[in-house]
Amino acid sequence: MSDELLTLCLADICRGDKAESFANDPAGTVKEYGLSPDAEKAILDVDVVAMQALGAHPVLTMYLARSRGVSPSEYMQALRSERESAHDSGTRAD
Amino acid sequence: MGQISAAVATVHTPYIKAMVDKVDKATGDKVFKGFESLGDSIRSVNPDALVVFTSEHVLNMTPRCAPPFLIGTGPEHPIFHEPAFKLPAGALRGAPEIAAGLIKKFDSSGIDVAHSVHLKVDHGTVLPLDFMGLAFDFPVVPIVTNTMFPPLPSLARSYALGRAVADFVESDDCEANIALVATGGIAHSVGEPAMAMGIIDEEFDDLFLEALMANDDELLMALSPERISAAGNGTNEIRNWLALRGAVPDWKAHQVLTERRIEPWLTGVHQVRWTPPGQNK
Repeated sequence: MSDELLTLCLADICRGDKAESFANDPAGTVKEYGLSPDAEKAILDVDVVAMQALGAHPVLTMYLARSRGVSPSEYMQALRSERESAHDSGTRAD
Repeated sequence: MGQISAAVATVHTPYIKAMVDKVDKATGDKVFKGFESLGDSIRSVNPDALVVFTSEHVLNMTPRCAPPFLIGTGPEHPIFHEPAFKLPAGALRGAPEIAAGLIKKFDSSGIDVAHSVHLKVDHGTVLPLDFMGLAFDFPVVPIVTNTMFPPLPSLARSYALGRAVADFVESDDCEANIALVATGGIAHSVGEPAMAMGIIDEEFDDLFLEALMANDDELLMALSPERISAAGNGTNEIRNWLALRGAVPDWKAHQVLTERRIEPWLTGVHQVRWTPPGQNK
């Protein structure tokens, strides 16, 4: 699975013609894209860090989070926690 | 033969509207007055149409199809509904004849530009026009640059795009009075960890603006993809400013407003107007 496919899925469900379908049936809609189980789970869990680690476009992870009711501060806290955790363990998650 | 009669550039961060209450009144007033001033620059020349060098945020361009440039050719451009950003509803008026002429010029100039008769526009285009009081008063030809899905057009390509716009306007194939608007940038991150860490690359903004003020297109064109990326993924939108530079290379830049760091908006706010040779600010 390419990160482009993950980004395409996010594009369709956040800004495209799958937005309504995703709102009504998130799991069923995401299933249509043939993503890896990790990618599907990351989207359904709105796991921003995991999605970005899998190559999702950051603009779209932000749009997904917003559409699923994640506040801007929660979104940023998730990314900060990951960055701080990576720093503490001596690795950088760029 | 037509003419370019005004040129302005500014940011399009949607938080200006979505989080206007998070900023102190004095700063907010300066920002909005700056937009009004840019709008006055355009309105005072009574253009037949605005050519807007702009970016979008996953709307017409997706991994399904992401050309380097995309021009809107239709009689109108529907405004994409973004409830969080409180944009006006409806559509921007288009300028199909001017768009068609531009496409011919791009083709003869060796610049490949995709075209859409149903180009949707988002806050990247609508927000600055709305703040400048121009959104529904003049026909608009949006030229969207791909700043999201690599490979992105080079800075030189964007500059050449702007040059081709000017060549068309100043040719016998055009009789219109055109105002140019560039939106986006300057240094900012969208959705990335850098945004979460509150990083705003003021050094990049300073360097970029100094080069603009000095008409140092060579320096601007030499900015590397790595340096641009390091300043944040939204910084790719400087291509729109470079396109405007390509159209009016001998015009003089004037800073209308520079707020280097507005924390709640996660970016600086920069507003620039250009004047032709022989004209004061």
